[in-house]
Amino acid sequence: MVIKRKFSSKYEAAWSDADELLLCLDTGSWRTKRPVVDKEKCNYCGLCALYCPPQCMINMKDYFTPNLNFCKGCGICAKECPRGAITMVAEGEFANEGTKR
Amino acid sequence: MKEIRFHGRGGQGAVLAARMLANAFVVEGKYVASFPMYGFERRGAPVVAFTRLDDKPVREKTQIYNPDCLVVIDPGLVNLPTLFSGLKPEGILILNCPRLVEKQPNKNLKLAGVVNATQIAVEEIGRDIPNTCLLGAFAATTGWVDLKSVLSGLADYFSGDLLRRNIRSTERGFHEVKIIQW
Amino acid sequence: MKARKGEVKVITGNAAAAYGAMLCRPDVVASYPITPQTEVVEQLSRFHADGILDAEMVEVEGENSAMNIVAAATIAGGRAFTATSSWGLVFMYDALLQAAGFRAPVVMANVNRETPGILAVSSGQQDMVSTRDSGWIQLVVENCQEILDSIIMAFRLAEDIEIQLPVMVNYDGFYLSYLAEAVEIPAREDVDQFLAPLKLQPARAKLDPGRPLGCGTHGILVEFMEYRYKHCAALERTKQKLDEIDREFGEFFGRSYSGQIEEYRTEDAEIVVLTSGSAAGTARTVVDAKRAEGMKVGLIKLRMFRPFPRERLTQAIKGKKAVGVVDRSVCFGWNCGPIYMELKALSPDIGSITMMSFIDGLANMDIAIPHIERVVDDVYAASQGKPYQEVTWIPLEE
Repeated sequence: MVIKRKFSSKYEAAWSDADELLLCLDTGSWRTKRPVVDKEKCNYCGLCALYCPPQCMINMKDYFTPNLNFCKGCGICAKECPRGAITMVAEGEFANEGTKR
Repeated sequence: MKEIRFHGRGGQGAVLAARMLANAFVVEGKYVASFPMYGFERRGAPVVAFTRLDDKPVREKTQIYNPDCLVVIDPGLVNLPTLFSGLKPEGILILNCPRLVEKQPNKNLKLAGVVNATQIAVEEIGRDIPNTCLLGAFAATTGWVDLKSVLSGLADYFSGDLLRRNIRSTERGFHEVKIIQW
Repeated sequence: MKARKGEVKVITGNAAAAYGAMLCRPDVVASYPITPQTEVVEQLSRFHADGILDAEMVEVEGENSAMNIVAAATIAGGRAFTATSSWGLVFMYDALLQAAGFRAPVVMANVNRETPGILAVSSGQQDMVSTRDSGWIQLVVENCQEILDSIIMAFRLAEDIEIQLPVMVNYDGFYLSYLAEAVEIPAREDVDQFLAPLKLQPARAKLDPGRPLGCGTHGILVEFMEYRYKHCAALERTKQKLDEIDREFGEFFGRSYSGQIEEYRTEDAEIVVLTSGSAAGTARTVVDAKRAEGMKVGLIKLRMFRPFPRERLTQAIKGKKAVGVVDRSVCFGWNCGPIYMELKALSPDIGSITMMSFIDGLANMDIAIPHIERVVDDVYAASQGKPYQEVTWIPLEE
């Protein structure tokens, strides 16, 4: 007979549990430009991480780098960086890199 | 019947591109059905448009799972894991990209037309709206429609100076597309 | 006498609805935007701004006001049009019921989208289903040409002196609303001619300044029951009236849709698929493919949901071995699809026949070709006596 799929949600209605997972959108695919951090210029002040609206700057202990799964390319980090260490580069420049994330 | 799938982002004119192409096919006496599918209606969010063309009325109203041709309006989308899903053998790709595609991105892809539509659009229209340029590239690469049919369809969507600029952008797409075969 | 060939344009379903309305020269248009209907409002505004549509365009702050305005306009003797979807349809619920109770011949395009309860900006027929007891006539269509043609027929139907009921023309959001196809747009003079018979009929009751006639006053006791009875009787007359109007439309414009239902390759069919909307278009290709393999399968496309085409459906399905109903909505309380549940009510008329319910296409999920192939295979297996599942939620079983 028919094999029924297991339900993917434990809730009876459309609840969103912030402790587990609200809604994971692939917002990284919305990006048309990505921030590129010049590690030499970066002084690890953390302002980019503070200003980033979806909070997706990753702390690399010596510099910051964007989480490309969620970065939408808004450019606020580049605008706020006091050292001008961040440049917004068109996604097309990375087209031949394959599906690297 | 041919099935074409457009991939773009909100704001790039992917939906309009699919419609303008539909116009061109109708001018040549073909039957066409074209519709977009998007999740969030905002700039930057991925948009897909499905266009079917045939010599008899198109009746199915479903999404396209096995395209004959892909039209990719945003260069970054080439990295999208699902882009080539279902592509038929002997598949064709029309791509807006500043650089050529070196290696064959998918084993079913046999023909690609690559053009820097963004640059041409900025030069001819003054804005990064590469859709009409890609329609010219489509006509040249696939041979499924005449350039003049594509151009005649534009008048339904533009007028005056904007129409002239888009005509130039389309013509440049037609003449400047680089065709790669595998 | 035949209409001249219209101009062919590549337009979306929403634009087709706007063209249909514009061609019928409404006196009043009041509409509020909502995805996936917004383009209807935009296109009508464009027609008005370009001087093509000479109507009173009332800008409203919400759908409830929109329905009140258009119903009132028709009660004053005018022709009125509006459009909405899901949440908007629900927001105008009391005015919707009033329009029907007042017997106000409004024509409304309803772009099918899932109703509140689970937030979705996506297609589904739940909005049409959740208003099936409003007393409105409900049509549901398959492609852009049919949208335009059905709106013209809707005015002819709504304003007919024997009907006088509001008509909702339903079409799938996203799959039809945004679908661009080549559509033949009739000449306005030809539409005038098609609607002209209405002017030869006796005038309906209307609000007239200076004349002491009120509308929507109380129905006390027996009168209330009289009005309900008359309303139901009008809905009964609607069935044959739609068939007549559709036939006349076909003779004049060259396009006919067979009225309440369309039967596709059902004459010698052993099993049939019953569905509505854009899914019917897809089902045709599956029926053709299965026929080419030798299977005797047919398609019945439901075009009129209210009133339910009892007689024609009975006649179409009687004698078949099995029927599979594909619903793009759910029937709460019966755990099956709504069209299925209504078809089951015809069992005494149809006789004993295997019936199966398939629920698919909710919230923009695609009723893809493999899904309909599965429907046909399951119905065929059931017709051969194999054990079957009465209700299948197709996407949950993949």
